[in-house]
Amino acid sequence: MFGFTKRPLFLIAWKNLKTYPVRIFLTTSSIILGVAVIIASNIFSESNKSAFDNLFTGIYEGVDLVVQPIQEDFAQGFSGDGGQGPISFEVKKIPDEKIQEIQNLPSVKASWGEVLGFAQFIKVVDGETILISNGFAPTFGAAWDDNEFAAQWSLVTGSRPTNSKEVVMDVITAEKNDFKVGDRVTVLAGATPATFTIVGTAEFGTVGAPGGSTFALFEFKTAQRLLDSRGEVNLINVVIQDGFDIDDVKNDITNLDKENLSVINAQEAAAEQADSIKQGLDFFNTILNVFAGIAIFVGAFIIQNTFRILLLQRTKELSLLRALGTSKRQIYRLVISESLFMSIIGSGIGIGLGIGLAVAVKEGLQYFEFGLPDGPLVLTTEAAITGLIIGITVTIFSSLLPARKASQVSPMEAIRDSVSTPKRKSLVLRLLLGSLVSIFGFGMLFGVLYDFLDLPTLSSLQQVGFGAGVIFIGISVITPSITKPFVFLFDKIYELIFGILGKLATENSKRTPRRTASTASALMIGLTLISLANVITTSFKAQAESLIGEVILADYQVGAANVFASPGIPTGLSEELLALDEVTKLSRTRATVVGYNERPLILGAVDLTVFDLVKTDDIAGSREDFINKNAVGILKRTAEREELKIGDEVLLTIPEEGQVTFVVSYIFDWTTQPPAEFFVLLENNTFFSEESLDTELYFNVDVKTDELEEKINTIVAGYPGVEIRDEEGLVEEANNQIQLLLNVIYGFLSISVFVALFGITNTLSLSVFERTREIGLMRAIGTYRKQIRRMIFIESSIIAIFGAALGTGLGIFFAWSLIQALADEGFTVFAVSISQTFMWIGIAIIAGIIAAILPAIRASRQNILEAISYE
Amino acid sequence: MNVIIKAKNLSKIYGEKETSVKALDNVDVEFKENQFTAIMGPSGSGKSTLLHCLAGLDRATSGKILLKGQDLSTLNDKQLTKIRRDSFGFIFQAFNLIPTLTAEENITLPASIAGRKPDMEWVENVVKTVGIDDRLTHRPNELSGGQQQRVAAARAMATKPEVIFADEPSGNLDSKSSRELLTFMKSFVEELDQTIIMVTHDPFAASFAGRVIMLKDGEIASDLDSPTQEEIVTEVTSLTNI
Ligand SMILES: Nc1ncnc2c1ncn2[C@@H]1O[C@H](COP(=O)(O)OP(=O)(O)O)[C@@H](O)[C@H]1O
Ligand SMILES: [Mg+2]
Repeated sequence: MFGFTKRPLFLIAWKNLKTYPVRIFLTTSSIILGVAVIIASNIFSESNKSAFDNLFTGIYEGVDLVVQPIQEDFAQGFSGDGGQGPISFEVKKIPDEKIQEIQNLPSVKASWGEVLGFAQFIKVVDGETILISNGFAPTFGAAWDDNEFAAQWSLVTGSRPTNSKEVVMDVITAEKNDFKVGDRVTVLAGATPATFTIVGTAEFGTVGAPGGSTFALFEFKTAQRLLDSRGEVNLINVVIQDGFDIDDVKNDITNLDKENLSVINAQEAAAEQADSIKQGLDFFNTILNVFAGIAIFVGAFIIQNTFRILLLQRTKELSLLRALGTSKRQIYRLVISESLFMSIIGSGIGIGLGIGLAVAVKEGLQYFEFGLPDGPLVLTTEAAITGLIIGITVTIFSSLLPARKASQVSPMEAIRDSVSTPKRKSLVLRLLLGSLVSIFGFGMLFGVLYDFLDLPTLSSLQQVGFGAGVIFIGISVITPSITKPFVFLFDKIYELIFGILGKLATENSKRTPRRTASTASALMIGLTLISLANVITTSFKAQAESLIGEVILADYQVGAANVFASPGIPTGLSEELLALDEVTKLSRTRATVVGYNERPLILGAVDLTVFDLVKTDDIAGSREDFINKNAVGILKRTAEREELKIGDEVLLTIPEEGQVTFVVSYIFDWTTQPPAEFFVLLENNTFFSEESLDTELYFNVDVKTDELEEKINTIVAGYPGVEIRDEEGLVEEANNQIQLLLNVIYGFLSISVFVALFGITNTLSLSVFERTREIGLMRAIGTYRKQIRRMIFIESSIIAIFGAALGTGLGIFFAWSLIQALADEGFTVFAVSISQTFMWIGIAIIAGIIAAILPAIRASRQNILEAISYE
Repeated sequence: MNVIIKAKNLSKIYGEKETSVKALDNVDVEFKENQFTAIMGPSGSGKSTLLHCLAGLDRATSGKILLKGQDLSTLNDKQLTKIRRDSFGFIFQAFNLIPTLTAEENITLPASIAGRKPDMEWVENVVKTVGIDDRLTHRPNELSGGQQQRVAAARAMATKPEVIFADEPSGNLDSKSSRELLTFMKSFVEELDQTIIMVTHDPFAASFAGRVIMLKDGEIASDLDSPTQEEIVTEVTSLTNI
């Protein structure tokens, strides 16, 4: 029985795919990866968002209303300190008695206070004290809620804390650090560490501990004492009596103390807090999406190339269809239906791979201790559909041109024996067009750097970025025209090293310059971005190094190891250090938040010696005047912003002190990250000199010796949570952070290099296929299999070096331009890491050779007789 | 004259059982040094198969190929490749040259892949003989079909091989180029002491050879010594008519 189908081409398309699974794989490999990255980034961000949502909803579970203290204007506007050292600003709290007052309202079923602050567990391993934390996640201390309605924490083992010697540890921290009920543990809360007995472990909701943070839970009064909240709570949770309207209860509570209390719905509070964190995560998502975009972009290149290659291999088959009476349109549709099938399969696999990738990224970040919240991975239908649509659209669009070309195949091809070689179109037009585009891009880029062209709507950085993008497109257009001259450079060298095989390989890459170029372009994209990232970070490192050397005049700097856990450095340390004969000079820094012009602002207090230990530049006034009792020194940029000059009076609202008037007597530049905007002399102001904590110490010693270092370290070790660094340490710390970032970027960009590999494999496969007879002939006249393989490897290395060289060159150039554009922001150092540059070119070449393995094996196994027989 | 290469009980069977084809059936044949032999026979008689087996391009199903006493059937791919490179020369009907290499590079290709310097004096001599000394820097696509085959002939000669194998070398050429090529090949044997085994179905081409072997159904039907073109035609007709 003959089957009959109304859609024969659809059937042929489907049959083709079923018969050649490798074909699907080669074509879709890049789309699989691209979709995978999109899906992974989406899963990742959605999961984090939902984890944060859960986290904050969890915090207020079972709670109807949250009562917060109304903060003073300036303190409320001040959110986050940018991570610059501990700042002891006073947050308003609610007095204990309010809990009872609220409880006494007839509309309230229950109310209890929350005490929350920073506290950190300390463990001792081999005599070394280690502060326990998960990356950048905060370390919390809190009061154990005894109220029957409190549902956040539940005990996993042991019992709740009942006295000042007991603590409950979150179960994750306990498991990770091998703590059990009954163990003793030191907790750093406030300035002084104290030892407690672990009486229980607890989990938060069902997630152990929220967001990678650690929790020390104390008995209520103990928590208040340790967390600087004597007689106060941070907020009050309220459960309303059945049958009361929530808005009425809200009013009842607000009316108790309109001045100081604000009441909001618990769910609102949760959403508000989750939102603020999610915004921060959006930045990360943007980056992930950019990487996904790059992968898709490279993928589109490769799909198009692969389609062309595969269709060329099938010229005979297609022309036979034409000879049998299939119209051009039908061939076109045949190819498009094939690409449709492939894109669906590819995108599907991509989604699967994306899930795997998301898990990998999450694990990876966990490994680097990024401290994002735990939670299940979430794949939204939207994300899956988006991935599918992008995958399908990109694949089909990339197949349009090759499909058109394939439909042009002449029915005569089927009868002819030779493998058709594509017509050679002139590359001159390309060169002209590409050059024009590039010149336009260079014009934009250099225009802003050398001030001859400034586009009004763009910032200089944007204009440089835009120019770089245009140049990149221009160069991509040009590459086929410069393939020959580029390969020409290799000719002699390769012939010298590899003999006739080198010659054959170079000649082959010149034979199809477009193909060589488009294959190399895919690699070029990745390498451009990698070398851009590499040079920018290397330059930043060099900048940081020279800056640190220049501006930190002190031999040592002391600061808090974890700004979340400890509010500062106990003053005893500076006293102990000063008592050493070898310490020649020491400066303390303290800081607090004050109000100025209705806004929060950080007021710093320093010793006069600070000017010898940190580089500062005089702008106006003098240090002599700064010594005066009511003198205030101001940073240059603050003075400019607030339009203050020497002799002006400023009125500051100081917590617990009230309003104090100062006279601007000194305007200067603090060349490192300044600890404050306004400065006073520490000894002049009792509200500072009677504080018990420093935020930073700088000091010099007469001679740096190992013994002295040992001595200093012993002293510092007596103050857990305090960290000492010398210049090398500071440089190293800065470098480590930059390198960590770079490694993450490298990780993502490697995906684009990986995608490009498939392109090389495809191109070489075609190249081998086209040269069936040539390779057969070479084998017949005595070329070893090994030599054939080597020839393909050499050819691959040319493509790889071409792409890598162009990419690296462009990347370095773009990095240079960016740094020039950032000169106004203080970036002056341009440094290229030669070793890393060559490392990546080396990786590209090795990758190219790996990509050539399959085609090389295929070429070397070529049946000689099949290739040379002529019948 | 010494025997340089010989086939003993050579059989080649394609396919399995019922569908199998016996391309060579127990062929015994010897080729002497410094002789120009033509292998003839109807289409499908096994000419190419015999040549491929002798030249180490294909393996026989049974039997031996002895090159100066060395049994080629026991060698692995690498050893066979080396023999083809160093001891044999090849002229095929078409696709003889690598399109990206010049005529000169094509001629010295076997030496180049062996990593050896070619014997330039000899190569120049050969190049002069085939008359392509003014075409050496040209690529194959800049040469006529006849010139291409002459370059191929020069390549086959360049390593001073023990035996040159040619499969329908003049099959694609017009009669003038064909005559020229065959004349050069004959002079290789007569003046430069080479040994050539050539497959052809063309009696004119065969008439250049000093010995003509006729194949039919994978067996040697006759072995003629210095036949004229007429004798060859008569033999071919008698073979095809039976
Ligand atoms: N690769 C092969 N597979 C199957 N049969 C083959 C193959 N090569 C040749 N034959 C068969 O072997 C016989 C001899 O072929 P061949 O040596 O090419 O003959 P000739 O060169 O004399 O025309 C023919 O019947 C041919 O069909
Ligand atoms: Mg034949």
